[in-house]
Amino acid sequence: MLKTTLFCLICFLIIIFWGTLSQVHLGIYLTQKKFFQSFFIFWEIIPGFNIPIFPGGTLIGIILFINLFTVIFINKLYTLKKLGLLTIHLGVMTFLLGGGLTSFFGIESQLSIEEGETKNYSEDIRKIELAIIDRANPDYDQVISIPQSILKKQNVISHPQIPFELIIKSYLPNAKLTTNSSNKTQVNLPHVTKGIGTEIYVNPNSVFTQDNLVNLVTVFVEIVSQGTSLGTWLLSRAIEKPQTLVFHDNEFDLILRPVRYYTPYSLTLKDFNHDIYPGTDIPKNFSSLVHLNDQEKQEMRDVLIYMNHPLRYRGKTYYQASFGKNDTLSILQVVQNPAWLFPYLACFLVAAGLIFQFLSYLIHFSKKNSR
Amino acid sequence: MKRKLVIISILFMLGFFLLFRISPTDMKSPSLTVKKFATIPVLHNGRIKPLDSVARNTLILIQGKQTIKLNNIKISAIEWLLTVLTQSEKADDYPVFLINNPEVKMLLGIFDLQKKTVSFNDLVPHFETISNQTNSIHKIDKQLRSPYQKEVINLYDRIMLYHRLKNSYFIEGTHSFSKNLLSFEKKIQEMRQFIKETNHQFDTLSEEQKKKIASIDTTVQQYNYIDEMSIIKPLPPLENILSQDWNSMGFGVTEYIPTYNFHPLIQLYTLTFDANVHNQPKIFNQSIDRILAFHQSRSPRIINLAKAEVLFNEAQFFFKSIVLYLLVFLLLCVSWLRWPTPLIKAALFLLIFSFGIHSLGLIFRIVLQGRPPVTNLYSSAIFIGWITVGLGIILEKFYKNRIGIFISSILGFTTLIIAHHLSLSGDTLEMMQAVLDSNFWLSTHVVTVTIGYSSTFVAGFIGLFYVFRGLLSSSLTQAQQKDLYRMAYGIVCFSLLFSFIGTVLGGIWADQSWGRFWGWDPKENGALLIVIWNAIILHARLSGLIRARGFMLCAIFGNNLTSFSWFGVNMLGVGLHSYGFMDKALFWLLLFILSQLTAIGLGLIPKKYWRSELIK
Repeated sequence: MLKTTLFCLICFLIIIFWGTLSQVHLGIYLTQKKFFQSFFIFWEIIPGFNIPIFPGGTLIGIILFINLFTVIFINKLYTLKKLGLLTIHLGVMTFLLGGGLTSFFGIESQLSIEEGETKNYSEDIRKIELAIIDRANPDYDQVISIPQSILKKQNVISHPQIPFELIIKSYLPNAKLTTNSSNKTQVNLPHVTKGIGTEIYVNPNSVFTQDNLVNLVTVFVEIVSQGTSLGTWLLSRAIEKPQTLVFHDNEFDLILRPVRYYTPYSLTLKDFNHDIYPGTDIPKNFSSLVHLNDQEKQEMRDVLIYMNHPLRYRGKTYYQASFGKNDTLSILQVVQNPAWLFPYLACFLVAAGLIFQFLSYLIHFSKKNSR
Repeated sequence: MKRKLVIISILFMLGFFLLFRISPTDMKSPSLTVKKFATIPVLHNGRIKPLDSVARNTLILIQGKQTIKLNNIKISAIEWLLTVLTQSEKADDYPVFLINNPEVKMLLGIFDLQKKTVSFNDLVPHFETISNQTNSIHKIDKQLRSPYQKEVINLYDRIMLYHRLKNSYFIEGTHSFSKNLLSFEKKIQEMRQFIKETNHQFDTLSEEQKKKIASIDTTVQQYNYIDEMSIIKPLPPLENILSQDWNSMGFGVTEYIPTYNFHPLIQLYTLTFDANVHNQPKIFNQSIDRILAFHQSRSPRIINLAKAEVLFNEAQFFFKSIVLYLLVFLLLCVSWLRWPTPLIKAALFLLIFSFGIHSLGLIFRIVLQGRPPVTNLYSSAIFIGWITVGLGIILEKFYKNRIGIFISSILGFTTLIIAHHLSLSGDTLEMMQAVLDSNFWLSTHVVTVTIGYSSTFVAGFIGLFYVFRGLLSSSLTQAQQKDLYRMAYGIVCFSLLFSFIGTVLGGIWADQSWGRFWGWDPKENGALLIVIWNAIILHARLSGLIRARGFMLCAIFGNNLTSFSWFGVNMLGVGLHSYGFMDKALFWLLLFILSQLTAIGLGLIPKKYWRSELIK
């Protein structure tokens, strides 16, 4: 039993050390996916062919959880004498559980908002969706969005609320777009017949792994209605404006954009401030003055979000992450984590257990010494 | 008994002698008046500090040392600063630019390998080369630059810094500061008169009159340039005492145009500078007194803090501790050969004494900065040293087997040496980055986690002691081995407790400010590695997988993990300002890790080859 515990701990040690070193090349986000939130760590021997070479964080976490659970009964940790140890182990289990829940249910997104702008959604800049916006109704827009995982399969897509079908003819995880024909290295890409894409040359690009670079996902979509083609569109992260498709006098906007998480309330950025220490470039404080408008709960108020003081509202936490555009654009990181209480409970348990254990060791030690 | 007393008293005399004799700033310190000049508070790098600190920090950045040696005469930092500000021609001849890189030396045409420093005037003919090279190097990504390229950039930055320092009060080459100011005043008044006379009709002016106006313009431009260049802001706002909006001399002088009034400090500074140029100590003294009196009446607190900081700079607590820890170590080494009892007693006294000085420095820092002890990498080294020495003294109190003293002296010495090297990157009392600006979390999370680091080192050094003594000498008795094992076990438990609580507090801080408990950031991972490793050691012992020897070897491995998370993660490119030091630090880190691995390898040598008989 104890050997399994040791095995898990040593695996954790290796994974964390290895993962930390690989952050230099992979960046924090990808490392997290590859090492800590995976069942196995894969090694790509030849492109496209991966073999598992080491257990990943999730797997070890599950094994350790089961192991600790059984240890409690086998070693009878529930007696009064071993109360400290019991608390520590229960605490570690809570940690593992919390970590697991967070990686499954936690959502991180960004809200980048300019001064004066109002938004009721945040975006995950690492994931994209294909949004089809039906502008038929003057009161509201109907949005159908197709997630990245479906686009990747390069299949025919149909949806009861869209009167046509989409054929994903090509999916590029990253590409360079240019209007200069001399740069083109067109290799067997579908021919674009409609939209702005007709004037653009596409060069496939290798996928970026660095945290600060955005992959410009690009897809070629053919729109088909009852067997007849309405043309092929080029959609890309690099094209920020929606492209319009007219179908039976109805206008549909097509756009490839970061995945959006809508909220039942909106935020308006009233003012962004960036203070530095006088005579230096060292930032002293960043702050965003935001107006919160929640019609549903009738909550309308101004909130100041600044370093170490995020806004927590309806299960989401908004904290000041970055800024841009000459200090008129504020970027807030939005975290939604239903398991946020677990670590608090866990560390309370472990700390209490450790202190109990250490104090009883100390008392024992000083008794022995005075004898 | 008599012999003991004699030895102890000799040691104490030696200790005091060292304290007052050896200090990087020579004890033939600058004359009293310059010392007074040193206490004038100014705003520099976002912080109000005495001119003494400005001088030391800048000189360290340019030269790597706090004093200048010129024809065997030592010049203190503040004397150098005064010369730079008032007689820049003279200062341009001081060899303050440290050049270590042989390729850079070649670039500057220096073929004398003994020559380590050059003066500004020596560099003048090479400016074009240096700036051309800098321009092309700037296009290369920071991480990819070669050591030579980094050195060139570094030299360029230092030249710029020196240039800006020279132009921090008045334009360089000014000979009479009062006259300069007077002529500015006169010209502005003339212009006023002018415009009245001419009734705002520029076109009707004579050629000569137009030229006069143009010359006013250049005078004003000169001060605008000073405002742009200056790194020192000596003029505090007159109304709001708490405000940090201090102004540069250039800004202050041009403020005359709308107000027809000078900030009271401006004229006092011109008097001071003129007196220094013309060697009039009395006037120099008087005008500095008036500057200090002005600050005193404006805000006594600022003056008191500035005075305290000058005292702190001069006392060099940490440097003295380095010397004393070294002395403790030497005493202990001698005690293994001769006069054990009196020498050990003397070593313990001296250790407690140097721990006191170390503590004094730490407390001074806390009070000056108004922050908990650990605010940057530099102060973490000081603090780790302090905790390890403290733990060593406690161990010595319980076990009385010299090991506590031994470990304390080594760790105290090493960590302070590391701190000394870290201090070369500039102001050690620098302002905090926005994210870190929280005294509550700094004092809870950072302090606990640092205590965790320290205790892991203590356990590791107990392991090293065990391996080397047991392997190389037959003097390690079984009772001693039992003691060592118990010490190491206790410290590892202590370390698990503190590293765990520290790491978790960090998580809570992250959750409070960013809404997430854990982000897999390298620094977070580093701390977690230590927690897990301590848990591994304890569980391996429990399962019978390791015994005394295995426990010691595991403790030694803890040194590697701790040094990795303390220093290593900062080298992964997470961004630390001083690349120069970090390159060298990487070498030492790898060397340290290698040495620990070697020690573990030695510890694995079969028991029969050990000179001491090992317990199970």
